[in-house]
Amino acid sequence: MASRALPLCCALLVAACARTTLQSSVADVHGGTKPTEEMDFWDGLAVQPAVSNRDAIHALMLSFVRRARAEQVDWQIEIKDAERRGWISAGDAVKANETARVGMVARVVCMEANIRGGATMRVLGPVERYAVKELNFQGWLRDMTPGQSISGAELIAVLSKAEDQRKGAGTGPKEDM
Amino acid sequence: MRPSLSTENGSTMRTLLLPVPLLLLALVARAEDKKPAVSPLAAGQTKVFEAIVIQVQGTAQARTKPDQPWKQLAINDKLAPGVVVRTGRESHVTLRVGPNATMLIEHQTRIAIPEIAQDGDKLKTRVSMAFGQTDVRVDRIGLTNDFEVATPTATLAVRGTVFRISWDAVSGARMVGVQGNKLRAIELQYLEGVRAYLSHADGSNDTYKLPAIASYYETYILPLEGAVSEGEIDDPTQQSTDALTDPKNQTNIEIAQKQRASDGRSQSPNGPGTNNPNNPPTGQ
Repeated sequence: MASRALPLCCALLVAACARTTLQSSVADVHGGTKPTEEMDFWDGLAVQPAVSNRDAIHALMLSFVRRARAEQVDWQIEIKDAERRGWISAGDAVKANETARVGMVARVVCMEANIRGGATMRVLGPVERYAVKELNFQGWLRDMTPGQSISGAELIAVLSKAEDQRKGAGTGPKEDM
Repeated sequence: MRPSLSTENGSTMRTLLLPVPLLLLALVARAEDKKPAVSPLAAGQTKVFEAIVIQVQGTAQARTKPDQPWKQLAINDKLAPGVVVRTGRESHVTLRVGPNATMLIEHQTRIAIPEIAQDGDKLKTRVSMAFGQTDVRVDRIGLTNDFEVATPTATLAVRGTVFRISWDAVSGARMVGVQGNKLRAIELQYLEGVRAYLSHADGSNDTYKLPAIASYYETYILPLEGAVSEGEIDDPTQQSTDALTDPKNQTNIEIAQKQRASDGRSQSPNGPGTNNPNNPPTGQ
């Protein structure tokens, strides 16, 4: 009996640690570079309960690189671009349809929005753990951890706050309803 | 020392004069505030209004039905009730919604305006925001304001104020008090364009499209073809003389004279019948 339970537990443990794979990507459907296609991409992203790596990288590219990379979204081009910009390491096995990690998104946002963080982050740089803590502290994320997946609406919210900060609009008085 | 006026292409003068029509417009707007812009309807009567686009930057699209294609917004576009508006990154659009409200829809915002109507003595406006942020100013124009902004988690009812409402998946609904100066500046910018259009200044070949500035130039500045004027506001004669004797303008004057000479119709740069002692006409 114990000889059967052990492999079963191991299999369950491995499955629990694996990231969820999504069946489709918004960038597959609305990946064009025309304004309407880009807006359709954001609209499609907004209703996704979890964002794939492909959609997350594409959204980050649109927000921070702000230029069309190709006529149609090409995962290979964008992943190389992300590596070149230091968003991901060359050795990272980032799969297109796996759910994006909050840590990866937070790290990119801190790098591109020039968020320097606290003492630890200033010493260690924008590592995922402290990037997420910093964005939690600033209210850009809702008490999340680096390994969590992020929804489309949350990703749009983070990127929108980054744009606010770039415009200087995020410094006004705030009153919660 | 009296202030000197403009140099090349009159940019300094335009900067000085720009507040004048804006001030006039503001005074007119202030005077119009005192009388109701819309009179109340009889009980049971309803009148539907539209929203009009008064400023656009970047990608801002709208459609009134889900099966319609999205249309890029432009200034003066009229949006019927039921319209859905979406803005992209680094974009925003400003709408005058009915007779009593102005909305600045910020970047990455999805908003719908299902109702803009007057019902008796009540101005009813319903706005639904899926996500994003919007600055709203609701004016008191003598009728009862019934302005509501609905977000996925909260609904805000407004009687008359200026505020920013935002909703996102992280922070939820938030309301921030904002100053209305930005909205007023956008309205004035739009009104200035409308006034020029109504006066047919855009249809004229005048260099200065704004009638007030064109009149000012005609009154105080002598036309110096090919030369650049520089002088003082109180003495146009002295101004034109100074312009001719100013070494900075000599090159321009000479170029203008050479051009006229080549055209076979040489004359003084100060107009027909005027001679410049320092630079005698070359074609005569």
